[in-house]
Amino acid sequence: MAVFILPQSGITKKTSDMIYDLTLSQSSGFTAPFITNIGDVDNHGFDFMVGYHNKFGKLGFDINANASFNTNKVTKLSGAATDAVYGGYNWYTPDPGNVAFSAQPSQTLTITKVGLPFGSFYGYKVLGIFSNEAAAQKQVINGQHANVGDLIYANTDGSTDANGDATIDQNDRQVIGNPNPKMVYGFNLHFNYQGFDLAMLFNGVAGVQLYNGVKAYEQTVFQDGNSTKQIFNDSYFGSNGLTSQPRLGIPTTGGFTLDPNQNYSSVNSYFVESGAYLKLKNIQLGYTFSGNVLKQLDVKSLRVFVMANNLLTFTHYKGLDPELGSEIATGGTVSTTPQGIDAVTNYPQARIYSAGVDISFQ
Amino acid sequence: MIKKKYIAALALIILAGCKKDPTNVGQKNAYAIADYPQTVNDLQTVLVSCYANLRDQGLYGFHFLPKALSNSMHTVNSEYNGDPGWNEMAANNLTVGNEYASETWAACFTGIKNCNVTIFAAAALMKTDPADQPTINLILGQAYCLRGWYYMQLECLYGQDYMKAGGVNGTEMGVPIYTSIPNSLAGTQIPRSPVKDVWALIESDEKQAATLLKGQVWGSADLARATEWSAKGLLGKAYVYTEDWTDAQTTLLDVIQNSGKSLMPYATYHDAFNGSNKFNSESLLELYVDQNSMGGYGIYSSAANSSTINGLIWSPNTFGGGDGTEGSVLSMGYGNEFFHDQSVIRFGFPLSSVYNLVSNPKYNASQTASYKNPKLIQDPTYTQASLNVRTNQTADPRLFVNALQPWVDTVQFDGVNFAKVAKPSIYAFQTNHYGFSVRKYSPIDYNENTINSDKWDYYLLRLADVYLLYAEANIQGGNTAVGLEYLNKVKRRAYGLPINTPSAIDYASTTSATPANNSLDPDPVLGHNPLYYERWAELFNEGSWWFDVCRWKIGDSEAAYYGAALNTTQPLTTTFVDSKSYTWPIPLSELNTNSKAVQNPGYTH
Repeated sequence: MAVFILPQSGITKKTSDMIYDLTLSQSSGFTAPFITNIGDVDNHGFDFMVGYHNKFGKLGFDINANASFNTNKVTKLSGAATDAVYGGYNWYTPDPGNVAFSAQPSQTLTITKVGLPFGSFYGYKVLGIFSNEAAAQKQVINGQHANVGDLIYANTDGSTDANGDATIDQNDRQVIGNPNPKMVYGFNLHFNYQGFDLAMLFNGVAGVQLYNGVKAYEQTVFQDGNSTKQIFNDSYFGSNGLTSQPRLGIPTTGGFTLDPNQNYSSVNSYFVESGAYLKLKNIQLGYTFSGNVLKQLDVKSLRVFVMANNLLTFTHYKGLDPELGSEIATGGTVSTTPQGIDAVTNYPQARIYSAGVDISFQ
Repeated sequence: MIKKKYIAALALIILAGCKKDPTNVGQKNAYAIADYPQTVNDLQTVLVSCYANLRDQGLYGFHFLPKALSNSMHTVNSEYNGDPGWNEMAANNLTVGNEYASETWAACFTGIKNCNVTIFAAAALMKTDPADQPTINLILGQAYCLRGWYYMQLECLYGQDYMKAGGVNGTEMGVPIYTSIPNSLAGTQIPRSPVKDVWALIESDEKQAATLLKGQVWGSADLARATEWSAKGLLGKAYVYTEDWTDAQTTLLDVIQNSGKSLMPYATYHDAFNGSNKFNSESLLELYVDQNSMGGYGIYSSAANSSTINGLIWSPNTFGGGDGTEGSVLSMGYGNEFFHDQSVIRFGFPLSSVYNLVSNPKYNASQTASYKNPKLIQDPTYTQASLNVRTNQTADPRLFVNALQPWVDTVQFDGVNFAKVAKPSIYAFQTNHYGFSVRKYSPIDYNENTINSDKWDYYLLRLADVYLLYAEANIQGGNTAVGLEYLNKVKRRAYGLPINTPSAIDYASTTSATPANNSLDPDPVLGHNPLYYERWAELFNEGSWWFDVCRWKIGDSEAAYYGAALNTTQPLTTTFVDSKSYTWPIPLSELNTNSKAVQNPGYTH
């Protein structure tokens, strides 16, 4: 039996003159991103690893676990011309540059500012869903009063209109999530018993938020596109009453106004979800044949195994896959800076099953 | 103990790995200023980008006319309400995130950047190739002319207010001015210049263009290029828009007398907006469109082309391919928009929209019912009455240049076969709606779903516009008789009469009745204002009426006259807000990236 524990090692990583593709002002006429050194980002945290292996009779096992804690903060943004840099879109098509063709058209999802984590989600904070019509009429967004079933937005700047109703606009946006994970962990388990061996690799992330951009398309109608059956659960849709989903729109005489309260067409915290997950990334079960069989087949060693990748995911995240890649940025290139955005263009990871044989001859 | 050779190698590696500043590493697949342009042909290539940018989706490529302006002006009624961006345009009430306002801003500034690059490159080439100065000057002239045009679009759409006589409103916020390419990040943080400075730049650019292009007559392969007269015409327009009547009269008269241009006869005019009669006698600046989209979807094709696809949105509706009933309607594009009923009335159409469908005496019961063999047809009395309206000119003949009447007009719905025009399916069997289709800049002899491009050119400036601007300058400047004569010249052309001879249909005074004074629904403003009416009718759906509405501040009466649109849920008078609706918002993307940009009042709280 042997146990080893690595002492806690603290890490501070300071990135200076970080390279970023900055969007220039539209009035400059340049639409390609300007690659520049944007500023400094601080990452500090510590890593932790523990291992244990032992053998009980014929069953041997080996466990390794590791965890990494990190806090991310922007310390300097001198390379940008403005106080804050906005980025990240809820893309509908990978068509580069068409940020306007989206359920949340031309709206940036993230803000990067000194003192905040890089690429924090930035939008309206949702406090709930209105269950009372009188209270709802007191919220005004783009000149439209809210109705029962609409999202309640926090009136961050306290602005009201002539009637004393809360007015919601761009100035009411606030930080609503952090896509930089606080903890990344994993563990490896190995078991062996009489020729059988079982290996499992888990990894997971905790303390992270994701922006579920796909949910907007699943629960509303977007232009000529299709929707999903989730839309039938929207508040006051058909014969529904109040549900956990905000309403799709308001019927009018001879028509229907789609989403006057911008429930699905604004960047808000209804779409920010916890992205914590634990995945069984890899599991492998194998059997190594022993002497007699080998002699008959005239081989030195023989092992057969079955393996699965991405077999199980434990998460509360409602989207397809909380393990998101980087999103596509303007120009069709993959961008490293807007993180944690689940857009329609993201392709989830596949579950892969495989089987194999390991033979070695004399 | 590390061996000496390894230390030496390590030192060498450290020295060799020198610090590379990303700003000093250029792209290997792009031209560098040091070695391009080297010849005049290189410079011509740079100039092309100034023209090509006009076909951006945010300008004449796809969205600006059919989605943004035509909804704002209510020349069309939009059956499609799935795009909140263009619903906002119809309601004349935009949000700061409106994608069409954002695209036009970006497209105009990209055009300005392209012109600035051309000007910069021309200066560089002038030093290395002074022998080609005459050609370089022509290129410079075109760049200045287009830059002035782009700035005029920006100022009219986003400027806080139009400048009035005597420089009133001159200190209000215009748009950021770039007269050269920014060479640092700080150079992209430009505040909005005052309105008077923007107009001063527009006027100076057009004057410079006129000087540089003086006397130039282009050959047949270069007719789409700007000329001295394009520049002077735009200069005259800028003077009228800023109420500088004296300068307007001088400049516009110069264009009228010396450009060599003349108003087309009605027969040519009738067929000048659908692909024929390109670069005609009246055109002063024309955007050339080539119907060949190189196998792709218009301006989005992966192969370079010179197409535009506006006709898809307001394509005509027809019975072609259907069973001949009003419910079986095909469109020659997406058919999202059709001619607004109130515009039919405003052109003076005297018949009500009510007609009966009667049995077709030519119906062949042994064959299946189709658009060639319909069971029911429009009451022939009504059809004949409609034809009489055209023959007797009891409605403004320009109605029939701009629109197609169901059951009366025909279109080649598949490029080969003819079929009657139909009401949009949303108005099928309803007798209280006209449901005419758009004809100007619309596919009438081919199906735009099959051939993904427009066939016709777009007039950025034509002589009729100059005549009307000259009329306005004279009327407002006190020369009513001269002004009235030019209004009448435009009207005489519309009615097919000799332009310079007094006629029975002339306006007698500046308050005479116009076709808009239609007993079916008299227009309280245009009904007795020949100047307003002629600018509306003559330049219908060409994009300039919106600027007239905004500079004359008649948005409320326009909203009241049109009443409602299919893609809005409230009456137009409710959503038209004086403090906000006359200007477009500075896009949010500009405010986010330009620390010095300030939003228009009306869009801030």
